[in-house]
Amino acid sequence: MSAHSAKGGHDTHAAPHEPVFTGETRARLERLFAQYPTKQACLLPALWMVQEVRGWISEPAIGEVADVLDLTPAYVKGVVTFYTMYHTHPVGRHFIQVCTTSPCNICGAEDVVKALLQATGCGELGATSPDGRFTVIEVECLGACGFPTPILVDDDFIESVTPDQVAGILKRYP
Amino acid sequence: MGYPHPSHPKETVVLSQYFGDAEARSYDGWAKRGGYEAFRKALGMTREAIVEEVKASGLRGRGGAGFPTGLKWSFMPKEVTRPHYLVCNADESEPGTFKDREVMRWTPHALIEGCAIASHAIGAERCYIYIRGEFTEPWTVMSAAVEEAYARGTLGADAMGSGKRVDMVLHRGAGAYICGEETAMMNSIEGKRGNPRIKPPFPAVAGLFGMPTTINNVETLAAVPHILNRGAAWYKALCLGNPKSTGTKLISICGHIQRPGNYEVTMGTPLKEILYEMAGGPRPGRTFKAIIPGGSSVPIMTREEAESALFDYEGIAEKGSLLGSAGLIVMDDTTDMVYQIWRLARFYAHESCAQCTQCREGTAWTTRILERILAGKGKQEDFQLLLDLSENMTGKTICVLSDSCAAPVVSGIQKFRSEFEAYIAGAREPALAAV
Repeated sequence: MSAHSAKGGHDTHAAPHEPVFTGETRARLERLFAQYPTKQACLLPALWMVQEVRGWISEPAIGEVADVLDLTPAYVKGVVTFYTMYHTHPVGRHFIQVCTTSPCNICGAEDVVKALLQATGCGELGATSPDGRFTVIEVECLGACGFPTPILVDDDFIESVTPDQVAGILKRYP
Repeated sequence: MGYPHPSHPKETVVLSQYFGDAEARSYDGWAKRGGYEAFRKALGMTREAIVEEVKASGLRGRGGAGFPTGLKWSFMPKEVTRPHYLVCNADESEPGTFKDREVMRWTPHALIEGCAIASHAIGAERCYIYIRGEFTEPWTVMSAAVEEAYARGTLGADAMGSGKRVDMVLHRGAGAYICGEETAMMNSIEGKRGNPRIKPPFPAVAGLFGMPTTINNVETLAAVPHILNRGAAWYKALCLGNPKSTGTKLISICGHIQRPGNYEVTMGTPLKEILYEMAGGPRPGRTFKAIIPGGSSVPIMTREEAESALFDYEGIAEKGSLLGSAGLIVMDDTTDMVYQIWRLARFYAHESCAQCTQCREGTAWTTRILERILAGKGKQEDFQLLLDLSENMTGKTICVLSDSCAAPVVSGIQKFRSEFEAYIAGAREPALAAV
């Protein structure tokens, strides 16, 4: 979908860093420069691009972002770690976020979490399933409280999920 | 049309008229429904005339604070000697609130039109629309709509052939409730951690990139084209309660209710009508226990308080709470209030930016004390401890996040004390394992 898709494969560890901002990704970043008065303001969009291409934001990628935006790696890391949607370690092929804040909680969100952890084989929140297919996390308010329980699978926003629907939903994400 | 339900006869459908109508999403579909007429009209008006019209309508900020919109716009410098910016707050993250999402999903051009008019009114050539990272569908719909508006020449260097530049940039958040606070949002757009800033200086003096800036909520901006089209007097006349609260309000209703969803009502509608007639009342065999009327950051109301309140800024304040974002969280007699208050405190502890000690420590300790009570290890002194903490968290920090954590705790202890007592006395099974 959009320039800010969260999908994509992910790095294996210890490989030398291959630059993200080359070719079309570089061109997209440069088009963004025209939309902000400072390069620094392109930091959140640039981080989204890294995550889209690599699936997560590694230390060397932080260094590269700092480099292209004339910032320091320490500064970039400070920003990356402030925002919960940026992954600072590899995650499963499909990343599942479940809302469990009060309005969803009183409508049964905890049971949806249990069903997801069991059906994906993740076992616990934040862990990746042994087959590398899923990571499930609990998140605070997805902004769809009238449709409990909303979940985000990658970029797909799914409303009104009940425990018995979980298996069917997961089938759509090989 | 309401969404996801057909509109109720008692609704006043203005902003939500085309919710659920996919054709209204496209430029042509929107134009066919009278879209962009208000922007055309605005381009022929002076900045002052637009601001005066919005002032006269009585429109107040729909994000939660309820500040008069026209007055806010009038704070912007009259002379444009350096860039002015408009920021549209589409970071809707207040638990219980999901109305702006519907505005963006169904009527993206209404928002673009409102942003374009406001940009012109405050002398801004560029508007940033800050959409929370989790809103993937609104992002896609808004991206397509902005692209269309550029392709038609409605946005860009020569907006609608007026010779005026109006640019619109979508900026994606990355998961931080606090970025809905206006100064945190400006920092986030600038590529910084989303820490709120001390005010003054106020945004109209030194805002985004240090320039004069106005920040308005999605629903506020989406109301503006209607005001220009139909006139301030028409909007002001939409009022059933207090003349200080005019127009319509989108309400999100969730929790233990028959028909959750978004509703649009004239300001001053009795809350009882909204709960029972529009949203269908409690589940069969249940009664309401508590209502949080303005998103999770406001004091909890008892059923009696809620059912006797008029739904507008003054009506809810009169009953000891706040209209806020009009996200109604409904809890029936099955609800464990202590557990839900703990869950809310945990939310604020998670979302604290940690700049201010009162908030960083206060939200965390509040959460831990509530956990202790839920684990059956609470003490009588915990009541006073929670209230003391809450007092130290109210009115003492850069932004109001810690106040928002204190609100449900203090009102919860006041109104549902016996439920806390039951855990402390061991009369109720612990809900959490001991920590």
